[in-house]
Amino acid sequence: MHSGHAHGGHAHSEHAQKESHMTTGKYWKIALYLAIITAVEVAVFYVDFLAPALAPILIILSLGKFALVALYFMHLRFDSVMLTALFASGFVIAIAITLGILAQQGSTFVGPGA
Amino acid sequence: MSHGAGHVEHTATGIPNRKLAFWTFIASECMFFGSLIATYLYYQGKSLVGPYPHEILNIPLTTISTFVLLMSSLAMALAVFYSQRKELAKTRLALLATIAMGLVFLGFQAYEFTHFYHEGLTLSQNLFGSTFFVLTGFHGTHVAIGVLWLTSVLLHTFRPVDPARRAVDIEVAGLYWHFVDVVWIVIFTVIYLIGASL
Repeated sequence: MHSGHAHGGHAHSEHAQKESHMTTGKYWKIALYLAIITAVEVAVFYVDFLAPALAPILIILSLGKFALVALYFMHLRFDSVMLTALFASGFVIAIAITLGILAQQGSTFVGPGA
Repeated sequence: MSHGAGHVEHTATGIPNRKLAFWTFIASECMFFGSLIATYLYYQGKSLVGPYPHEILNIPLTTISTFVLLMSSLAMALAVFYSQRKELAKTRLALLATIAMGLVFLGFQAYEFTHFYHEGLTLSQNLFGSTFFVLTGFHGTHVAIGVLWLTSVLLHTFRPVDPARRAVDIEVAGLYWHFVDVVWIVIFTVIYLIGASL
């Protein structure tokens, strides 16, 4: 992954070079991996003895799919690190919000009868 | 920026301004969907009445719609690829395929929402209904907007435009579509697979 340069033309030709390493065949291969991972996720869902570890397994598999789409379909693998930093910042804040809200789980839930 | 394209704008960062701005927007959308998913997770398992996730979610059907959306991402990536090589006919075909698969996904969502409503799950029925419909409803709305946007992009390919500019336009639309797909990857795992197993 290359860094953005002040001179737009130079960065564009570098990007074009890296872009040329992607082919339609490679895109199809990525799509195949995504389909396989989805099939594995669903298969794991139906396997009873994996139930205790279902959540971590599914999270890891979905992170793999997430990475494939972000890196190859969204071209972060070949684009400026600035774009990765932008995306990552939003993603990290989203995770932080999620963890912060879930940290409130310990609070007492008050039902409608209270 | 694009392979064999015409004029490319010069920027201080080396990144087209529209592309940089859109990635900033995507970062904000991460936070938006993150808060909706967090809310779903917070209220998970706290519904006092049914229908509950394990009773109503249809995993096989949603797996098919997930596959359709993933393949639409492939079509979109190919559209961007072909647009950067100025292969207009293939670009249009790939855009059309993306739009078609997006419509199929929306059809699945419409069926699911209608079915759930008839099964008694509504926005106000319980916490699961509220959080599920808000989260997947917003996602579906994003997909619908994406379909409209891509249709506009497809129609725009019939106008004489600088190929480099067209390639950036399609790339930006592609970023939106792939992001919508990425959000669904998370929703499918968290709500459907993990949620239905609880």
